[in-house]
Amino acid sequence: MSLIICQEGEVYPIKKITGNDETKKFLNSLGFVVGEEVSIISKNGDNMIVNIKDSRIALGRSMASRIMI
Amino acid sequence: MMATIIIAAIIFGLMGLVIYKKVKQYKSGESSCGCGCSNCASSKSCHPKK
Amino acid sequence: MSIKIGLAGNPNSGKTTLFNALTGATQYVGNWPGVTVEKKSGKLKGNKEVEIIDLPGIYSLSPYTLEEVVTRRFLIDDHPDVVINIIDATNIERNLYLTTQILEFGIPTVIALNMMDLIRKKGDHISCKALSKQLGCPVVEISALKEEGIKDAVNKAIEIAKQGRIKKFALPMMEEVEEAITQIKDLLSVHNTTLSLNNDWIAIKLFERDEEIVKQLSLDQSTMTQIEEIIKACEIELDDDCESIITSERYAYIGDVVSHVVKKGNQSKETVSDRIDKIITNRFLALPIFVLIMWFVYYISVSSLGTIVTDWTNDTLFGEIIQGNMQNFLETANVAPWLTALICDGIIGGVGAVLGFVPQIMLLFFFLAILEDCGYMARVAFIMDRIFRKFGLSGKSFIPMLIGSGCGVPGIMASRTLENDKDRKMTIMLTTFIPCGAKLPIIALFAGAMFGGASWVAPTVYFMCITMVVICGMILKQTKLFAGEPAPFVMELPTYHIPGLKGVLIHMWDRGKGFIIKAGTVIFVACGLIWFLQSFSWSLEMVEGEGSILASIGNVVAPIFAPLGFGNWEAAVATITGLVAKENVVATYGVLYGIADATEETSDLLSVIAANFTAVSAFSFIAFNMLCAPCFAAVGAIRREMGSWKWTFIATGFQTFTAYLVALLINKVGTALLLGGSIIEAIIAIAIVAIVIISVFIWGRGKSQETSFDV
Repeated sequence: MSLIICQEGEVYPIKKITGNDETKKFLNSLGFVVGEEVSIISKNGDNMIVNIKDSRIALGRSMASRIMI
Repeated sequence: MMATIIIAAIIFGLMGLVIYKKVKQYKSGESSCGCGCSNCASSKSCHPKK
Repeated sequence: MSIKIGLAGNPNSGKTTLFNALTGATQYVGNWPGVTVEKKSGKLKGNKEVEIIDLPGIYSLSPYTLEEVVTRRFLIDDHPDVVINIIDATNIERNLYLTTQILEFGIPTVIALNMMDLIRKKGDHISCKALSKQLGCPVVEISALKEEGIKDAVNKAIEIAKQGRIKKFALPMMEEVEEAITQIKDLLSVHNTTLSLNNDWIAIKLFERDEEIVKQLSLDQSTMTQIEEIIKACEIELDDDCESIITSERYAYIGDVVSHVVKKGNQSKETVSDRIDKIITNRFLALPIFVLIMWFVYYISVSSLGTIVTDWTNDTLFGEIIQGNMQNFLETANVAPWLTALICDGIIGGVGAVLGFVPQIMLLFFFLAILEDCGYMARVAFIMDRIFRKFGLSGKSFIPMLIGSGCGVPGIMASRTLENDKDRKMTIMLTTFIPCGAKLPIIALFAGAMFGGASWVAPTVYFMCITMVVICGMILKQTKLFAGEPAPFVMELPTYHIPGLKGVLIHMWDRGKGFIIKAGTVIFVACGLIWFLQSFSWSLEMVEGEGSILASIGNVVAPIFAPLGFGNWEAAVATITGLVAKENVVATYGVLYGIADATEETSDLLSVIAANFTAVSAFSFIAFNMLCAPCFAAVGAIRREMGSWKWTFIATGFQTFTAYLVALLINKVGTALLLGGSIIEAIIAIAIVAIVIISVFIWGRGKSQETSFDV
């Protein structure tokens, strides 16, 4: 399922990042890779702030929906 | 009279200097705001941050 | 022996802080040739032989973005002697992703491990020695903010630069991948590569199907086909695409390194920053908190503290001290009366009016700098995104506008953070709608003259401007020029930290300095010119206002502004001089009414203004000047960022046209509603605006295109 429907405070391992374009590569370079754990710090509507590899990344809906956990 | 000439020379001299420097600045395309990008905006990125 | 050092690292890793600390005032800022990416270089403080180049903040060295390409080219073509890779220790794993790529270039590298104090606070432990052993390069602990350890880092860099040994770094990889890479290397060794780099790195890039490298090498078709087969075979074997394969290898290696180097303390995942964020970005609290903070900033800088200092500056400093003494001095010296008038009424009057606002401007910049440096600005973009997205904009468009509330030029430059070209152009066009520091005096002047200095005037003006941003944004989005989904929102949020006072003051001074310098140069000359034009007639006799050159010029233009409620030559002239610098609007009025210090306090100027405007026409005047084309400096910035005169004209034309319509609407409808004016004219005005909007929709309609995700 996609990261969008997850809750604040939970930790999930990433199973897949959909698509195969530059955006995916960019997400990779930020630390979003298969197997890595991502946790949601705060949700503001459909946007969220997550913790990945000890860094804080703010994601809009369309980005977050591509991260499958 | 003398005083007028001296003061006038100073004032117009200054103006001429300003105009000259401004034209030079414009030609070389410098940022005329006075803020060199080094200390610019937040995002620490006047140069795009990805 | 001159040494060239490249400074590389992730955004937010402290790179800029380090660069500033190392180079001090000897920086040069330009652009990398041919691109709009900024290039910063400077000499090391205390050693002119060492040149330091600040590379753009990047997360990796892929060929996708300009910043990455520019950094690559620097590493390959510019032959730096050594690279200092600054790493944020608090997210070391992500930072090391870039490190592995830098090390592969084979250039001597020193790792500067930054923010170790935060690590220790968290209770974690990182061993520099262990890291150094794992990576095969020196690792120095630093705190860029506190300027600790930076001398050691630089000295180490210089040391290994002098040794000049090329380090061999090879990413340990799985057998299958090693196989494939070796095969590609063999193919390469047959050809002479013109790239001055080791074949290892090139082989890995070819394996990743790196477009830039492929283009540069221009290998023959058969070799390319063979390479492609090797890659495909590996992809099938590992059931993954080539780039992901390498990415996984990197992270696997990094994970291994980190396990030997980092010892985690207590495992609480939630940091102080996170706890703050939970509140600051909370669904319901985010916006009210933001409004509160901004209100506070403006209240202190413009209303309370700011006003006190500005009052003193105007009344005492300029009024009594400077102008009074200058007048005495000149009269005693028997200087011709025209020159005395030029200096006292014209220059001191005009420039003094503007300089009177320096205290408020400085305070405003001070607070903005604090907000930027502590990390809050990034959150603001995130908070605004939800709202902006409803209107087709990205939250990232908000930051340039917030910065623009200080000065439009850095605001326009800040639009560079928007990856999407359409978003960027639209943001640039709308940023100057937000009142900048120079426009504040206009608001203050009229608030004082027409509304008794009431405190609701300024917020109302800001509200109107923000509303216009949203409305115009929505309208523009309907045209095919700008249609399309705004770029997806991705942004790293730096940890909150208490900004260093030194840094904040430097920021504040940098921007406020521009304001003061402008007053001493541009406005100085402008005031002289205006004074001259309004003191003489075409036959060069001294007159008072009405018969002057300026009046006749103004009278030609004034009719254009008549429907807006201010069709007199003074208002026309003031608005036009505002094109050079917005401060000129107030300065011009100051010179025109021959009043000593034209500030919002002087009763003479105020009453003259009050006599020439109605409450409604005052508002329409303010509206026009807020929204119309910005000052020359800002137009210059627009031109630089848009890259063409065509777009600059589009932008400024759009702004001025919008300003005219809004002012028209305010004047006609306002007069009809509040002052018993003509209802028919009001209806006509509304109709005109409606027609314009509808025609924009019709003309601008095209198939809305999918925005390409050019991240």
